Amino acid sequence: MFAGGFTGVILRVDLTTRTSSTEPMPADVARDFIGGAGVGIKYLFDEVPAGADALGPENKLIFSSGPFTGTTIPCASRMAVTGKSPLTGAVGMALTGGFFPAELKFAGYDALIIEGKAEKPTYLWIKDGAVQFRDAGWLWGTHTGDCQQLLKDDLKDQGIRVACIGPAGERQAKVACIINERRAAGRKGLGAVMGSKNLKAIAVRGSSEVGIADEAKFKAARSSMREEMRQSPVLYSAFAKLGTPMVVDLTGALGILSAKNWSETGVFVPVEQLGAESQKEVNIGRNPCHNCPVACSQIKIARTGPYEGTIAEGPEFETYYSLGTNTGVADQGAVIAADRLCDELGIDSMSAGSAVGFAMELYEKGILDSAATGGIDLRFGNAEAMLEVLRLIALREGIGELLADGVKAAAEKIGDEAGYYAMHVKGLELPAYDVRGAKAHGLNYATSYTGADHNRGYAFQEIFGIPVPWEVDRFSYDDKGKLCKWNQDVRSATCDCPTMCAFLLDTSLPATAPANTAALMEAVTGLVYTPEQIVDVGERVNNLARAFNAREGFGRPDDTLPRRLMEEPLQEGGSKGQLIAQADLDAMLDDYYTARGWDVATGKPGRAKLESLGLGYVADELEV
Amino acid sequence: MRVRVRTILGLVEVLGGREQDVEVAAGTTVAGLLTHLGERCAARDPSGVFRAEGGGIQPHIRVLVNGRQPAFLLGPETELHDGDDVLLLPPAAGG
Ligand code: SF4
Repeated sequence: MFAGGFTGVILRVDLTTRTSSTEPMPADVARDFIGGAGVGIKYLFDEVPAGADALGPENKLIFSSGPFTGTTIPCASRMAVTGKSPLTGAVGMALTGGFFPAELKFAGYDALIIEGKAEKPTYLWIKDGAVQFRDAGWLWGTHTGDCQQLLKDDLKDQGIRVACIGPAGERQAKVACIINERRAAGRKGLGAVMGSKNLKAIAVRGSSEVGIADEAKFKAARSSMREEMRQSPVLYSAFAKLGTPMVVDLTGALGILSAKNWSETGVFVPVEQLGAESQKEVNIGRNPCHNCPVACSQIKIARTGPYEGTIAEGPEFETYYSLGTNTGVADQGAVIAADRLCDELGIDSMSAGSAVGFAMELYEKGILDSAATGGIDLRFGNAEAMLEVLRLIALREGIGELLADGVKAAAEKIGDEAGYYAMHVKGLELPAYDVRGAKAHGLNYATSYTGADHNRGYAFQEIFGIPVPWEVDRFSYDDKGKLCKWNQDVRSATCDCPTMCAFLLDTSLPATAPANTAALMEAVTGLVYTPEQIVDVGERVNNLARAFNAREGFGRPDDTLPRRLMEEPLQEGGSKGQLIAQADLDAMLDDYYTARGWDVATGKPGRAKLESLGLGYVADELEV
Repeated sequence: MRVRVRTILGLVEVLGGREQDVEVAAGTTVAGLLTHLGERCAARDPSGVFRAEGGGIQPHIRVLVNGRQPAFLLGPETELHDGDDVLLLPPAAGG
């Protein structure tokens, strides 16, 4: 049915009845949503009913790669995992790279939709067209590294790729993630959804190749993309060598590297201990994703101290924040060990680290006492305490039970002023960037369809100074609504759907990503788009996701930021004096909703906008 | 007057440190500071981060004055003041 790119097949698995079936990828879904996040959100909206229990059998988990995944397009390594998030109650969509996504494609599937709930611990074994439901009782309780290796050994094929949960997902900790190799569909608690379905793992092996519609066009489009990568002022010269940790240095200098639960941004800035220079001593290798010539991913070893010898893939920049600056732990070895622990236990290092930082601040303020922490001396900077609490979170024991469902739920349980210190939007813990010094980045935290998610609309104009689509002043509020829309739509359309590693967008393709995606779509799939039509796909995805959230009751009041960011100006550093006051956030939101064509009072998409995107049925459903 | 000059990554070596206070004449502009730094750092700048002729700096290096790009102030002619924070940022990516 498709000339290339798509396999044209969706695999549907019902864990309740232990049955599986295949169905064609509808041509209009492929055209309008491309793949990845777009396809995931389409099926989520259409098939998961309003008000569904995110941890009940009516929620679904959709693993969807895109038409570029598994081809020889550089860095097209990714897959979206989509479901209703138990952490936020909104769209839960997380992307992962590595090799599992391509392998699922090689097995013949554009998407895998998991439904229902298995009666007992189960894993899926998908070998090309054959799908088996297998007992996972013997795997239950294993760490993610062991689980993957045990399956490879048991199935006698070291080339198998596995996506699995660890002890945290089994216990439905809402900060649990899904791990494949040492990559994670990390955020929004999708590991808890997998655990709620008694699904320990999915093992995949495929033997087919991804077709290409027009080889000559494909070679031309791919080499022009490679040329843009070579021309990048940063991709191979710096990013390939230093990886994401170089952003510790950058955000530290800009005064936006959040620290100690956002109380000491600009004050506690341990760049020498955790930044680029400190990586030289701990880096021991690389582990690039499928067909990636950049290989930003670093393998690291703790060299000294109590964690000496511990090896992790990462930590990445965000983890140097969440398990480093945010907890006041300026120690490479401890962050490496904590990162490894999060991967093994299957918890999102960002949300879990945020939860630890939150508890540390409450402990220092006397809101949590040592009876609440089980005697753990939970002061900022106590690395041993951080590792212990991470373990407890995954096991839902002691103070871990309080923190396992994220900071919003924990603050509600603690009561009093704890809510002020819970740094989240819509229940998703904040990423590393202290957006008091980067306003469009902050507006994206407030409006992203997944909660505070830097990846849904990264304002590279403010962080990296890239003047596309226009040059911006990071402290100004002017036109930040329009900019935020542009960032969200372009990111969705050119990275999250086809799929493509988002690091290429800002390093190499900031001005040309829609044209690059259009050229590659035509070459790979035969489907012809203008660059504008590619961006329309991003707008469609953001509108459909917004509609899902509106149907769940989300609206303008939920598009907000933690009060601390609106009331406490930054005290020191490169963004000293900055905050985002409520009135300024309101003005940016007005600009944003207007740019989006949404109702400014409610933040809901209206019928005219939805119909213009071919989403008339969504307007009916929302009764707008 | 004295301004604080800060930098990161590969430029640390060129400038001889992550941060330093630099004495300049009152009324010095951003362009003037870059020329001054270029002269001062010439021995440590084999790849020519600072341009030998006409002052200035390579186009990919971002210059921020008190956190803002001079484009939003008065461009290279933005006048500096005692105690200003000048940040020189080489390209970075990731995150
Ligand atoms: S640049 Fe890094 S994250 Fe992106 S595909 Fe390559 S190794 Fe993976």
